[in-house]
Amino acid sequence: MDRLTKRILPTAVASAVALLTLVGYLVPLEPLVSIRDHLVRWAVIIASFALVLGFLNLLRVHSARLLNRQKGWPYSLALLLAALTSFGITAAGLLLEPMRTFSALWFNSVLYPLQASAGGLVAFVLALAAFRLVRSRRPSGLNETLLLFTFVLSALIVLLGTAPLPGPIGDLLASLRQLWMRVPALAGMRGLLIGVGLGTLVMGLRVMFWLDRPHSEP
Amino acid sequence: MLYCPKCGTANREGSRFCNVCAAALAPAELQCPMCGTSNPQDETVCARCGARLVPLVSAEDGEELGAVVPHGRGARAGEPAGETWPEQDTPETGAPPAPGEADWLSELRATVVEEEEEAPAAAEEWQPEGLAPAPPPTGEHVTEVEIPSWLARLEEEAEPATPGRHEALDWLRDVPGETPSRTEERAEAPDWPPDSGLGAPGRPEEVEVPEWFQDLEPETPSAEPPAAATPAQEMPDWLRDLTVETPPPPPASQARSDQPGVPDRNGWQQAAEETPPSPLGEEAPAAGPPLPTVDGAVPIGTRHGQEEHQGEWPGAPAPAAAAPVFVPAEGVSPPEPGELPDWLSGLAPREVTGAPAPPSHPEPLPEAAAPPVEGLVRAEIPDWLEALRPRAEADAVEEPAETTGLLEGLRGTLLASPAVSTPGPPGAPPAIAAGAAGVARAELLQELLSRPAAPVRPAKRGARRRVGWTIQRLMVGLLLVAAIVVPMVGVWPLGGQISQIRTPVADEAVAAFATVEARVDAQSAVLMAFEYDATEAEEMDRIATALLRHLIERGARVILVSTRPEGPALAERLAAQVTPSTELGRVANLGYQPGQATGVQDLLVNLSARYEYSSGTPAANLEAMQGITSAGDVAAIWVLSGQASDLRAWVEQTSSRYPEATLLAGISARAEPVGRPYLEGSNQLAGIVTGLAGAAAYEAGLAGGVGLASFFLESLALAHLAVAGIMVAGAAIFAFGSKNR
Repeated sequence: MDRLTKRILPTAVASAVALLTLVGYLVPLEPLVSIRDHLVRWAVIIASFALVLGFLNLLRVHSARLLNRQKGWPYSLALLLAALTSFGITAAGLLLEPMRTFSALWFNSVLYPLQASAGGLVAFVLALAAFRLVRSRRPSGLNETLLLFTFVLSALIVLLGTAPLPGPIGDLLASLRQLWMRVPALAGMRGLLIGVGLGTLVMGLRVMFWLDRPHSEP
Repeated sequence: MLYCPKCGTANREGSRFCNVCAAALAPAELQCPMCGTSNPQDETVCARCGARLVPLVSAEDGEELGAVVPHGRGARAGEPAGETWPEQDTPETGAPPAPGEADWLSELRATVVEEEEEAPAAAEEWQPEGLAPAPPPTGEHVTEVEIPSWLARLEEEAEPATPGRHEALDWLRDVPGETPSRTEERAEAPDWPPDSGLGAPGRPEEVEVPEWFQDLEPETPSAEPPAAATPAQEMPDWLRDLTVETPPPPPASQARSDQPGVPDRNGWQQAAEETPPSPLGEEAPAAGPPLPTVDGAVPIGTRHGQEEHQGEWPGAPAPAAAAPVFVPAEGVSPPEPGELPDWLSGLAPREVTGAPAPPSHPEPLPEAAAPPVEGLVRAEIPDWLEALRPRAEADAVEEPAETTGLLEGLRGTLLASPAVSTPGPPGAPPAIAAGAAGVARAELLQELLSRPAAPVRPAKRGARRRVGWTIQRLMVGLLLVAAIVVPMVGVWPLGGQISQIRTPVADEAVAAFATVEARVDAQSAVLMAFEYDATEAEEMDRIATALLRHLIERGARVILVSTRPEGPALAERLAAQVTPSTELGRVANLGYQPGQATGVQDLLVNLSARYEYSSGTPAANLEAMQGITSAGDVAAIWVLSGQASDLRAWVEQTSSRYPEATLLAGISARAEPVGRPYLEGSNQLAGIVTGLAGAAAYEAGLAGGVGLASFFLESLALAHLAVAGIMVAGAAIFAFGSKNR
């Protein structure tokens, strides 16, 4: 019974749903199309429920850390307070008309600036990391040397080419950047996208034909 | 009361064997004293473990010594109770001494008979039931037993012993036996197996004692002191030396006090009879402390149904043969008490001789100790054999005695030493033949070791490093801040010119602007997806603001959707900033759609089934949603994505579902590599606006003029230059800096 509920049943459900959805897309017959649409809506409902579960799990984990006074418990306390406050204010703004203004104020004045500041720090960290990389790291071989040189060259071309600089040097840098983006970057990205697509296809087929069971216990 | 069918003795109720003649009062089984298995009466050996069920008993009244066979083995009523084993060479009991028999043997026999006549009925308490020696059988019940040849030769060679008392050596007194003085103090006899002849000390005449063993029976201590050795029979020299007078036995009360180290047989037996010890022997021999008693233990040999008699020890067994008392031969002066021959003194216990304990490795016997023998020449011992002679150790260490447990008081037990012997102390290092090079290296090493240790400065080094890294971080941060702030305050000399510079990115943005101009008019609706969060908002808001302004200026209806939780809030914020209050009806915020790629599919298909984000009004009732049911009804689809995954999901879902739809993308600079293949490769994107540069170029064509995108573009350019300069500086420091890193 345990094997049925934890291994066979989840795999069977995943495989059946994947096959029906795929067939519904490939064969545009009405019953299959209707089933496909229903399955897609069910996936949306499950994804929204997963979001709620993720939020509750976040509260549970950090609550345990706070209660047990584990390492980093002050940060868990701050997170719990911010999460519960944001949730309460947002829910109140959605449900209650008078709270809507306060909810918008909370988002625009607290959440938005905080997240934007965190994004701004990313630029600073990247700049500092690039500096330390070229300053301290000593390549140990030809491959590492080539990689480091390529990184530095690409960074300079893209940075200087993106910033619109006046004069011929600006035009030259812009042209170099365009060439760099259209040839090696585009080629590399296309290869990545093809690989991702093929991998997604293979993974889907493996799930459909029970060759892979990510939804069940091993 | 139960009366014995054979002798008529009255026995207690419940007894299974007669206390006098050991005849069976009632059929019973034999319980093996070793494993406790019940065996039939006629068995003499346990069927399970092979132990003897019927012990050997000593003869009485000169009768043969033989095994007492329980009633049943061919024995019928009237047959002798004690039938000896046919395979045993037990001497004939009760027969007169054979010609040539040593007097000492016959005297021993007579002594044993006397003792058994006076022996008490109680069995020795230390002997478990069933194993106690049986009383000597009577002569009429003992059949003749063949004397072994080796014993017959001894009888021929032995000189007749002098009549009288044979004195045993003190250490021979250890041989168990019974004295007549303990007769009346014996405990009650056990219920021996029927016809076993055991446990009937009151009828010693019925116990069979082999003839040869009768000679070994010593005289009682109360008997007259043995007379001088009678000349008579031949006795080997070694045996002649054994004949010594035994002193009169001390009283039982002084048995142990007189000679603390001497095991007094008589006193020990008497004391054993007085107090029934535990099965394990509370009254241990004098040499050691008393052994612990096991409470509730059933004495060995207890039969079934007799557990109630656990505390009652069986009666004393038949008086065993007393310790042989040896009488010195005629012409041989017996040794003084305590004096032993040289060869025997080394073997005698310490308590007998009174001498100090012999060492574990005694001194080698002097040559003079060996008695000269005529006709023999002393052999020459080779040196290697002489080296093997045990030597006395001066510092012999007495083994410690156990202090706890059942072995308490005993010495020589297995020590708790490690199984693996510990290595001994390291000896002198072996001499190494080192050459000149080795000597030189050794000297160099010694010199280096003898140098004073150089001062270590780890803290200073760590502090310097920390300061260095802190300075670097500060420098990078300050440079970036300066690059951002300087153009804002108007110090930047190229102010306003940067946004005028046409770059390929700007060209693409301009092309997208033209596409919107061509596809979107006042009656059309545009679907705009906000697929970014607040961390990317500073860049993406500039693009979104420019696009939204353009659509509002065109008079189109804008439908806002998002597959991210923050999307609806960001969209509503921007819509409130850009859209005039009179035209808010043309903007519909349909909120958050979970499911990522699956949510995109549902959005594209079921636009009208949604609800407005803030008011909750059904989408079908909104002004902006008039005539719109799905993504196929809109004029264009703008995807504002800060990451590659969201852009890819929208492109793939839209292209597969609505291949004819006009799909445009407003992406951040870091997602440009992912969007460009869709623009230049598969043509799935009709237009693209990349980063601040594209937003600045897009809003340059708006009627309202430039916006924040152009303002921030100056700072962006300067920041790019700063970062590039930082990287170049780092490379230069690495290339031309110190080599000690």
